[in-house]
Amino acid sequence: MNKPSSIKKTGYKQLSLIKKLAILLLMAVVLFIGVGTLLQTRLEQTQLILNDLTFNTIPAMTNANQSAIKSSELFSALELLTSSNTPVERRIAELEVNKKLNETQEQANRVNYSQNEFRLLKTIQEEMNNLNLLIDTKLDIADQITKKQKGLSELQYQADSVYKENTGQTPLETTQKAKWKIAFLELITLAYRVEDTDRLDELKEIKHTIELKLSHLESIVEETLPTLEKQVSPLNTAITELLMSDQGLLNLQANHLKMIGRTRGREYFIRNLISDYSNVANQFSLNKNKYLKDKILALSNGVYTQETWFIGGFILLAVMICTILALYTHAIKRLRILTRKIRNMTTEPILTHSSKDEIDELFHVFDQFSDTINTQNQRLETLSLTDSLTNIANRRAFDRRLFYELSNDRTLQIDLSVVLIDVDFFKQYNDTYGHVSGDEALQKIAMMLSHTIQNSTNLIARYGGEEFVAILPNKTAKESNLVAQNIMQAIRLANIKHRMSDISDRITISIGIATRTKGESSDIDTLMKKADMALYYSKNQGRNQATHIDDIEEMKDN
Amino acid sequence: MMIKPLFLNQTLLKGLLILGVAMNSMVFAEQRVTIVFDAEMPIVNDTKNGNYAQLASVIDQYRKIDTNTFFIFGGESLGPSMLSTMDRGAHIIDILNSLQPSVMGISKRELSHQEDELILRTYEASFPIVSSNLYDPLTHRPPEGIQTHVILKKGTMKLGFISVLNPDTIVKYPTNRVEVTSPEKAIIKAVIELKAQGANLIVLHYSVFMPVFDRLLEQGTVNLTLYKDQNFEFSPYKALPHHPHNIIIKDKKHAAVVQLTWQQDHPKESLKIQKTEIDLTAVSPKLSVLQQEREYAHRLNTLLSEVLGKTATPIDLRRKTLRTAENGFADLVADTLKQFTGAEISLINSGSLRSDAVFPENSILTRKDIRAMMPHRNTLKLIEVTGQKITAALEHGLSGIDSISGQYLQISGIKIKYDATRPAGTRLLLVTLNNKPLNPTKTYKVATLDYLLNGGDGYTMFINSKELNHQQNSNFTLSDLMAEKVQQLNVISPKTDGRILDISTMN
Repeated sequence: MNKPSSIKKTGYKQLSLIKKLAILLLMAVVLFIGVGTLLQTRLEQTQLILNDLTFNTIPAMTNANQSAIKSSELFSALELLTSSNTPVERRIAELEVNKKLNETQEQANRVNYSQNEFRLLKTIQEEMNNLNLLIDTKLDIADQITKKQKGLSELQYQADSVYKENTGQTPLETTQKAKWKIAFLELITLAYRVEDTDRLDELKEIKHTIELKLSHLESIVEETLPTLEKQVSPLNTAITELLMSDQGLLNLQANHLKMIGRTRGREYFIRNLISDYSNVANQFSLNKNKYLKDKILALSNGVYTQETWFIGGFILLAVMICTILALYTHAIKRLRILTRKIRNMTTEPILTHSSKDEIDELFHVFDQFSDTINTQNQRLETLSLTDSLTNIANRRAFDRRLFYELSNDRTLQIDLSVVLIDVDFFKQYNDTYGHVSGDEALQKIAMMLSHTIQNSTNLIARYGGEEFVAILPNKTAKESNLVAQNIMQAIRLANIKHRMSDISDRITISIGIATRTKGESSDIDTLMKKADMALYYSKNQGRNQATHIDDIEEMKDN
Repeated sequence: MMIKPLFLNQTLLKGLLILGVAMNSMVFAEQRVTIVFDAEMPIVNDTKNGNYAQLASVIDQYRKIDTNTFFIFGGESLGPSMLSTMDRGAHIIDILNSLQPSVMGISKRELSHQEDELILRTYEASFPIVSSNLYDPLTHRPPEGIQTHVILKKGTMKLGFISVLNPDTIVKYPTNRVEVTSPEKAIIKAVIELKAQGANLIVLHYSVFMPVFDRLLEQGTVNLTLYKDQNFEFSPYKALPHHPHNIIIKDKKHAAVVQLTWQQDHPKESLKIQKTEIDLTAVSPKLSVLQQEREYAHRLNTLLSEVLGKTATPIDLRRKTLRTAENGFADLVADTLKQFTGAEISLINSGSLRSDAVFPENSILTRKDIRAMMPHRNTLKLIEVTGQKITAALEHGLSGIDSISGQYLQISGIKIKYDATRPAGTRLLLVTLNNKPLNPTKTYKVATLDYLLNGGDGYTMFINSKELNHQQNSNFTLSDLMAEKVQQLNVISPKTDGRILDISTMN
């Protein structure tokens, strides 16, 4: 009961072992391919990133940095422009500004900037142009103010000479002239203050005072003598014009101060624009830098994961190899056990073969085992075809042989006779001498029959009870009758005592014979029926005789 | 050619002088003055809220009617705007010069570019610039060029003018050194000096309301106050009864015309005031000024017309919505800032987002729009701050809800829960980072703006924080960052996600 289940289990395990091995191997292969591909792609990625670094990112960064540097150079150019005090300085500064602007523009063109950066540059350009105009105007006004200053000193000189020229006239004239001179000089002093005033608000106050002084001067002149009036009147008009006209000193200074304010405002404006530009350029460069960093980080992370992958992969591989080894060892161990078990089942002592390995050894043991099994099978077969009491063939062996002899090809080649033998009054023998003696008698008879008939072609078998049967291939009816007589003779010679036999004091036998001649087809039943009929006839005719079925039929025919 | 008009001018002047002398001699001579007052005009060529050209028309018109017309400008205009951040307000002064103000009072935004820039502007202005309580500890004087008071003269009439700042101004706009002294003391001191110079009446200008001004009017220390605040409706004082001589303009579009009449011998008692508000948007602009404004306004057109992208969801940057609740666009800005600097948390004051406008869904966003939304040139800072300071900052942000202050913080990285109905200083209920409460002692990486780091809007807790490096581009501005972001995304869809929760609105 145990054995088949254990075999079944082993069989199942062996199947899964193969599967396991196959899967493990497959996985190992896949892993190898996977790790290889990963390595390859990583290498390609690294290559790509390195290319990107060399050809895009680093140049972009450099350009962005350069661009940022250019913007700081712009600052200094702007400084130069706003601090210029003469038209020449301004022109030189303008050239410098334009040069720096162009350089910045060129640098920007090299960078993959967005619209904003270019718009910023354009705006800076526009603002710079406006600033230039403003500074121009401012310098122009400053120039005019200088001219007015000259005019002032001229007037002062003229006033002085007027005063000197007319000395020594009437006392009234002198007083009036002195009064005028004081008022005039006060105005001149005020006028000098104008150009020193840097506050529009103060300038307004001065303007107010000047207006008062002018009207005062006018009132003095109105009161003076005509001769004097003639002398000072042009000077009065001149100073009024110089100070108060549209292009007068007051307006010029006011405009100058306004221009200074606007220039300052615009300078701040441009400064902030340049700062904005520098910021976005810097940011662009920083973004590039960050992009680069991210990429390198991704790369190093990739290398790291790659490493992990590799280590993981190798560990997995090692684990697989170990598993395979373990499975292999386990399998070998089981093979050894199996070999030993088989060896134990083999009866013959097994020669220690110089087997190469466990499987060779197993093969060898299997060979021996199968030999043992064959021998046993033959023995079993022999056992199953022999009558255990008489040691001659049994009914099964007889049936098998007869079936063979009646097969078609044998039918065509040879004749075949069947001899059916029955011991006469055997029941009485058993009753008289006991079963043991009966068995001994049967054994003796079988031996006699065997000795008489048995050769390589003939077969004698116990047919059942006290009945025996013989197959005589290649024997005609006549020849078989002869064999039957020999049998009868042999039994007679055996001389087995039988007191209770009705026909003799010894054991006798009756025989029925049937023959199938060559070429005639017949089956077991028909042939045996015929032999049985012949035996029945012998018994009927008084026993201890042999009858061939053909003889009975001849008698009937007769 | 040149002499004739000059001559005319002189006779006119003489006539005025005689008239003045005559009026002075009359016992019950009635004095009359017209004051045109406006302020809060940071945007030039503003078609929506009235512009300088329209104001110029109004001034011209009144100058024609009444030679005794003063134009008093209340400031609050040198910032913030796209242009002002570029030229620090120089263009506003240039335009104002064309309008010939009699005087300009300083308001808080005049300090947006720090005091030294303001001093430079006083050189460029053709009018006096006044602040009575600014003090420079370096010189122990008011800052250079800024006057504590002026007398506005027409003939024999002398109007004393003073202008005061709220001491909180330098909390909002931190200065390098100048200090704001007590308004009341400064007023009294200036009034004494003005009286000594013979001022008939005292006009006070201020930019943040304080109850003391009504009291000073009541006491007769000052005779007229001028104040413009488009957000006065959010002020806790809006419901207070005010002195009739306290002129308050609440509409951004409006300019005030105040006509004063009084008797020469007892000006204070006999003072009568008649106020008219004029809607500037209904006035036809003065062409020369309009031309000037347009020139300025169009300066950046080339640069700013660039289309950056569009918004799939509406953007609401109205003052009140932005400064009292979470805002989708502000979330995007805070998130972008956080991401850009690599911070854990980002904090921005709502006041850094401007334009007060609503962009409907699918609006195209140009660089100009982004600049208008973030006109300040705020740079980005990454600092190390403890959880406790962050909490303090958040609490400080919530304490200005009642006055719709720009200090309300928009956040990223953290979630907060608060109750706006509780008293200021106790509103913040919970701050979580990754669903865990903020650890008060732990140091966090916080992204914010230079404005807040320097203590702007009263965020003193961040001053002297350890600054960390990020991206190394120290001048990169918030608007540049957002322009880049919008350009990169092409379509933005700013939405709120409940990071700021006011439990008092949850019913």
